[in-house]
Amino acid sequence: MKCKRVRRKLSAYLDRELNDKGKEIITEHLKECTNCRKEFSILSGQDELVTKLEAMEPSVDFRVRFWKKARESEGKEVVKKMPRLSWLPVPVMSLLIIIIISYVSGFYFTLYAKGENLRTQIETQVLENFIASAHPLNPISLLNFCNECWEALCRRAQSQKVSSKCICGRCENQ
Amino acid sequence: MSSKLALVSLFLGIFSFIHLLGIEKAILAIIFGTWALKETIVTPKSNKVAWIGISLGLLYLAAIAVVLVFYFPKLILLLEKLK
Repeated sequence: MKCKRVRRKLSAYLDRELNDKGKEIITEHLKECTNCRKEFSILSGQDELVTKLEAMEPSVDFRVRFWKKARESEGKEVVKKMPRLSWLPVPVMSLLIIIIISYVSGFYFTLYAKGENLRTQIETQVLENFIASAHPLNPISLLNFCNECWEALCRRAQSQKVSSKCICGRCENQ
Repeated sequence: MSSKLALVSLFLGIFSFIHLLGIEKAILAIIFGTWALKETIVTPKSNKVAWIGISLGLLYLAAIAVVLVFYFPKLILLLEKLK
């Protein structure tokens, strides 16, 4: 067998992927040919070295970084991010949170000043609406809570003669 | 990157114990989306996905804020009239 053909098969020979006949032919050739034997010893040395190395998990963005560098080397345009609007979400979020906290706090502090009886009643409704029967769409849960709260306060206002008629429009339906 | 995902996992685990009408999830969506936009390498797809997450988070917060702004002043007014 010629050296060129043997060297092409050396890797498969090292990995024990050849059939018995192929193995025999290469073993015989390596006994006779110094150059191929030298090539084989380098290959087996490299294989041993690679086997000793620790397995490395590529990072999650490895693929992205790889293709970016490949595109750069070809002179193609690299994807650019949009820096102008990326600052916008956090201030908008902060503003919405401030609005939510201020309305909820305002309601709770006003409720707190009205006495334990009413506070307990509203707190029970909060528990019933948000914890016991959580709606998949929470703004709807909040809407239901507001409507029930409004009805409870309207009834109380009528009983205390603060208001002569139903304000919420729900008391008359019952 | 894998350490960032680990950090995301930690925050989500901590926030599993907090229930604030889903507001906590919206806040996390906005924060992580903004974080993703500030990465050094941003592909068009990850850019789009980040913006979708941010928009949904903001939309949710806006929906909660709208309900509160519409209803709570009336409730507070009525509460103040009560003895």
